[in-house]
Amino acid sequence: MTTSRPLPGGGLSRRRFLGGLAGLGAGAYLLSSCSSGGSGPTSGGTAGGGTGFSLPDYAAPRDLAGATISDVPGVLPAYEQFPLPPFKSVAQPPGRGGTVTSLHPLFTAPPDDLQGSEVFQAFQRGLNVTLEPTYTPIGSYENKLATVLAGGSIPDITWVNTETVPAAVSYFQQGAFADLSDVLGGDGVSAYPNLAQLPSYAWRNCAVEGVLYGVPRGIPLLNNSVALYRADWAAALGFPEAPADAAEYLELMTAFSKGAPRGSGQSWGAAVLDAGFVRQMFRVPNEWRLEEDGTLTHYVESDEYRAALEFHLQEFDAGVYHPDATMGGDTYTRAIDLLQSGQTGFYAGSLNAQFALRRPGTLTGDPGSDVQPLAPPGHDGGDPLTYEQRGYYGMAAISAEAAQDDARLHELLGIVDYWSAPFGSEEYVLVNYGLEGRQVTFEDSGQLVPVPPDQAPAEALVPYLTQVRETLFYFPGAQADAGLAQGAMETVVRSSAPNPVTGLISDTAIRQGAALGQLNNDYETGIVTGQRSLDELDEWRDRWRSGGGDAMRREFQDALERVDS
Amino acid sequence: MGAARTAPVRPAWQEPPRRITTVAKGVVIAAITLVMLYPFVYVIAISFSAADAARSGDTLLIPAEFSLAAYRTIFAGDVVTRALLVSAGVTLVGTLLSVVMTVTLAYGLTRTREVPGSRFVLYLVLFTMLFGAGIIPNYLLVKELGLLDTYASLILPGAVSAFNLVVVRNFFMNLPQELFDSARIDGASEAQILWRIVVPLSKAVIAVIALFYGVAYWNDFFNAMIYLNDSEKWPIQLVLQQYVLQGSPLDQMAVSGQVEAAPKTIQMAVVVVATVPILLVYPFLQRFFTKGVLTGAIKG
Repeated sequence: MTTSRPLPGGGLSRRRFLGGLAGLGAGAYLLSSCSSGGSGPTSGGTAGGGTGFSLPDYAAPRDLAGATISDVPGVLPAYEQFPLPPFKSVAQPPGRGGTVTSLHPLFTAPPDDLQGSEVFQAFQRGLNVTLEPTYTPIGSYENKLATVLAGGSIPDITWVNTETVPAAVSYFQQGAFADLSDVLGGDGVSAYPNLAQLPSYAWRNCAVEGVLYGVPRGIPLLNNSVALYRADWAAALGFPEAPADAAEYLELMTAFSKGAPRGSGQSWGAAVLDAGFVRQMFRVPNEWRLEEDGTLTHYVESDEYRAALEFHLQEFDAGVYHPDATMGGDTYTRAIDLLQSGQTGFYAGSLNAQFALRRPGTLTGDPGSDVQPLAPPGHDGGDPLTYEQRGYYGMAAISAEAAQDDARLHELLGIVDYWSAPFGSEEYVLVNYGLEGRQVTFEDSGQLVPVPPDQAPAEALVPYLTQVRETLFYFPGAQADAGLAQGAMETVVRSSAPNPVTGLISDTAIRQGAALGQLNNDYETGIVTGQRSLDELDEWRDRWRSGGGDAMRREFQDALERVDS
Repeated sequence: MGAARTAPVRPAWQEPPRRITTVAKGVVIAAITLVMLYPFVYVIAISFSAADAARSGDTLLIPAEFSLAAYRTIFAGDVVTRALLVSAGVTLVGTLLSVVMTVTLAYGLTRTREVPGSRFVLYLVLFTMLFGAGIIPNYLLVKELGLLDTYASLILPGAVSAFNLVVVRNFFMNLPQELFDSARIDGASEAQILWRIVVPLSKAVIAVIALFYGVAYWNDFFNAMIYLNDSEKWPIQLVLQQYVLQGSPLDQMAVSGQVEAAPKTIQMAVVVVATVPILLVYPFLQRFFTKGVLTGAIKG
């Protein structure tokens, strides 16, 4: 095992970096779930299971009218109205008038005439810097990041995500980015009030073996546990209540396919294999399970997973899935189209998107529909095992070279602080929506109303970085859905468990993780669709173990011991 | 009266085909053609559909509800228009430059006796067919040349394709030596021989490599993604990638709430816009295609 301790601070020489690239895969890997410990946004303490930096001290958000703060740890706040007028969250522009370079992922069409955008100009004025962002398609981000770092011209601020770019852990260890543990840990974060309001779980989980390399972009800690289903179909088919166990769930999904809830039009239960949802129903381990004797069991090896597979096979045989469910290509867009055009009755997606996009999209696409959240029922009527995940989607890392100058580091963190402006602030509106009168308007009743895209000016918005929009529930135009989402999250949080190896490093995982993931996916899809026999599960497990699974287990167990000691 | 004449025996492949065989071939070819054409027809039909009709799955061969909205949308901003111009410019300039460089280099490499070291250069070229430097060394080279974030970075790294060079060189090697000898006797320089004799005789192979280069430049997105920082310089294929693939990661990767994928109609409209220009080139070069490739590839 070649895992090395992080090298705090310090510049990154090209030789060191290229040496690291030669060993890509021999570096480190950060699993994509969540760590042990408290899950609440306010839980403090230390990262990495007791070692490493002190978590930034959490500052509660302002007490805003229309806010509902759940007393269940880990559940996001819900807002049913927007405070008017918005308050200022940044007292002074953080910049010193110079230039700041940055690298961002791009999920949408490229921006048109960046410098001509009034939103972008307003953002630059707010920061008091000239911002030079580089946009990179998310699908190509790994290559772009590798080349940019190899070229030695690391931007001042870089969005880095170890989930989409596992090799990024190597970049951290080689010193490409600043170690922010001391700067932001404990009460250090108080110099950046907006950052202090970021959920503690996001800080904790984005640390790499106890070292903080960036400011996380927070998302819900349980992001893939709440599905949407057609409650109107269910009621019409004789299921007025949500399914309470696996049998009822199967009965409902089969009825969606076979019960003709659309009348003459064909319908199906789901458009994508709902593997994650079924696994949670059957209490399959959240990637790994830490046994009492200190060993780790991978989900593929568990008895619960076998039971989940058997059930999944039943679903497939019952015709629950759309015929294209196992087709390649853009399965998610296809699934969303089918849901929103009223052809499927179930969709498991990310939590905020379910309420911000999928639910309203379905209500519009199939008028008269009633779409409700659905938590996975325990397969036997008991509790499910819902999955805590990473709780962040990438982080804003500061170039180690830029961070050598304390004043510059403070300036750059101030800029990220602006980017992380909290709900209700002027800056929040700017970085998440745009400008009043152009991209948003405000109603006197206390609502923010986004201007429909086809009526808003086609201009570049603020680049994707650490906006906090996904760390709260606020849905303009459907204010009551905030409470609905919060209630759904409270339900799934109560039976949640973390992945015990989050934040730990395994060299084998970075080398073999993708291949093993593909192996698992191939076998799972093959078995569920009947192309393979369930009897092949033992062979699958053997191949997984010999292909790197056992090595990963050893390395993670070593890391757990290291952290414990 | 002569001896009875017997009909000449013809081999089986020269027999006139039976009608049923002809019909069967036609059916098979038509089926294959339909299979190949259907995706294009589907893409075009979706691009001209109303968004709701496309989402509902009603459009299969013809738009269920005809609409130009997708095209209006993508041409409303400057992104697609500018990307098309960038791609067209890079393709035209790049193809011209590549053809010139390939033809001149190939000609030089045919004169292995006259040009010292030409065989070594040839091996260098062939080496690049077998071993690639990789992304990062190429990036560092482009960076050190000062080409980052320039249109030149989309052209120069791939300006000469070793494969095309071999094809052209083999074509040149097949030209009669007597032509060169007589030209030299008449006092022609090497440049004149190349321009007045070799190139006119090599239109087929030049047309083919021009097509290869043109298609490669038009379709390339990777160099743009790696070498360009300014998204306003993106070519159409990179824009296309964003439109078509952007939907996938949004839900899959748990990016929530803020961004929504473009409707399928817009995605398909961008596919059409990105595909049609290069498709239009094929008919003009079709007649050169087989001749040029085969001649250059199998003789030498």
